[in-house]
Amino acid sequence: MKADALLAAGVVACAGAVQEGRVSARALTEASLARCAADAHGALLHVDTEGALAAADQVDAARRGGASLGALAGVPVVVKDNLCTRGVPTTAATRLLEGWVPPYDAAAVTRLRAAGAVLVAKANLDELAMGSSSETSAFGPVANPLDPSRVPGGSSGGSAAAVAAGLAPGALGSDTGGSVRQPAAFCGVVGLKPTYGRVSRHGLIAFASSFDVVGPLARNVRDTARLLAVMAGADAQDATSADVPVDRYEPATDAGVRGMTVGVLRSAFETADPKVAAAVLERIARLEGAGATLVDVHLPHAARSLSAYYLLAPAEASSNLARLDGMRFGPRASARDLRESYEATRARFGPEVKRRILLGTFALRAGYRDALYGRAQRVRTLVARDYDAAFARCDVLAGPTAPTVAFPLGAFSGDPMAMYRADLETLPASLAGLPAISVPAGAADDGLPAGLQLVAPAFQESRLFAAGAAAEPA
Amino acid sequence: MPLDESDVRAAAALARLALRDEEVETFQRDLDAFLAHVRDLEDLDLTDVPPMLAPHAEGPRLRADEPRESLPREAALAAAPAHDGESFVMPAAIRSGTDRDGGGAER
Repeated sequence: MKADALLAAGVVACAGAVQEGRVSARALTEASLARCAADAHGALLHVDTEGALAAADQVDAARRGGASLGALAGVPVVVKDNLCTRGVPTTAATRLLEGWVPPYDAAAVTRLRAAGAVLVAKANLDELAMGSSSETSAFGPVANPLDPSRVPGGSSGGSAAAVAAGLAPGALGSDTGGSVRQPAAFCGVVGLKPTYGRVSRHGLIAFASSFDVVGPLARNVRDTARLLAVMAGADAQDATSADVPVDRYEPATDAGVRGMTVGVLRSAFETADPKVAAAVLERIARLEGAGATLVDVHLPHAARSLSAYYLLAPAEASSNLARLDGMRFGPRASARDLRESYEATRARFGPEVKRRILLGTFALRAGYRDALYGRAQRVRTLVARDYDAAFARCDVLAGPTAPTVAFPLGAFSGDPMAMYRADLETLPASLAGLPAISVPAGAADDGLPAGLQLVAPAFQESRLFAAGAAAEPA
Repeated sequence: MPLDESDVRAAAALARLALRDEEVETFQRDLDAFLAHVRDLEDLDLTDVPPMLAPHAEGPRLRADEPRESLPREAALAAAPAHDGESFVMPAAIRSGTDRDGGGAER
């Protein structure tokens, strides 16, 4: 198989071909770099040609020398630009980090590199991962490779578009309220949000620290399992990373769903576009056909997730983003004194980031804090309890990843609340910190795909891989 | 109660964000619409429901209290807009000859 065909076949296929000497890491990397150079969708912010070729040559030299190769040896990957990469510019799509070159790698990136992955490029995203369409990037929007008049979803839209367009077989994204799953659904690829704490957040530019998770995007479920297996596990540099044993994820993709009980979130199908609902239900029927039992499930507080999330995440962001002040890194606006310098530097944030900083600051203000932030924290508990009750009856929950297919670029400009509603189906699992996967559910509307979202109890990613593989197109 | 312009300006001052007048108007409208939406949390009985600070929190794990390697000073300073080889150099927090608070206190 030639390099281009291998890129299309996926992460596991590429790694196997390098391992067996059927292709060199350099040939794969050159093919990926050529595709990155021709990217017409605004998916990338930086291509690291030199670094990628050097890493590929190292893999090839190791192979020639008879060294054992890592699980991702020679596999080109694209990394969302809110993950720090040593020596490679990292902007998080904000003017406030324009030109910044981090002195260290994010923990997830360190683990990918150690497994032999070749980092080819940094992916575009909504500014500081705040958005559901990848239109808020300070460096221009991303277009959906399946239909360039539509958004790729967000905020990991560049990562999803890169995989969908075949620039690389796998990518890293980050998911705070749906930012891996929703773009995966919109671009027809697989996207996994691991359990909160399953992957270290060290070196992930923080948005909302009690929500943020690093997750993989790829062309099939097995590929995401391979990527997670490499990244998962406790990390001394992230005190919130979980010290929970890591399952064998890849074999789980062959486990099947016989004996599994799947909870179907009926109310989510009532609010979704009917064509999306039909496409997703067809996938769920496949699970039943493969031996799963279906039961109807209702999460009583899921509908309140939007309010709770958009109070909590911006509150955390308003605190986290205080570090972007032009004092230690990033450009600084000149001013007469410190305060004016802060204000003028931070005026370079885009409108969505400003909106969320203001929202979060407001939710935390004396006099409003208990009624807004405090209340939302308690609702978060109720949402988590809803899941506990549901998982007493079933092994995984199933519903649409997003209520619609990819929407046209500019569809929600000037109406932030309408944009926030696009996250409705992904927010509950984010509030509860649960693992969730989006698997393509076939053409729903105008030839565009819907996404099937599966949610599992904490640290039960293996169930998502089993059910996801059973539901994905053959 | 709808927000007024001063609410938006007060939040912007706390967040150290300079806003243009037209931005104040837009964000006032957006925040109003948002606060109207979050009223859907008001009818929930939250008596005895504890707040959730983070998922699956047994509390963060603490590492051993031992010295370990950190970023070298040169690497930490390399990306700074201004430094003197030892420290970050920042604009003056207090300007002489004015009564203006340049730094930490809130307006």
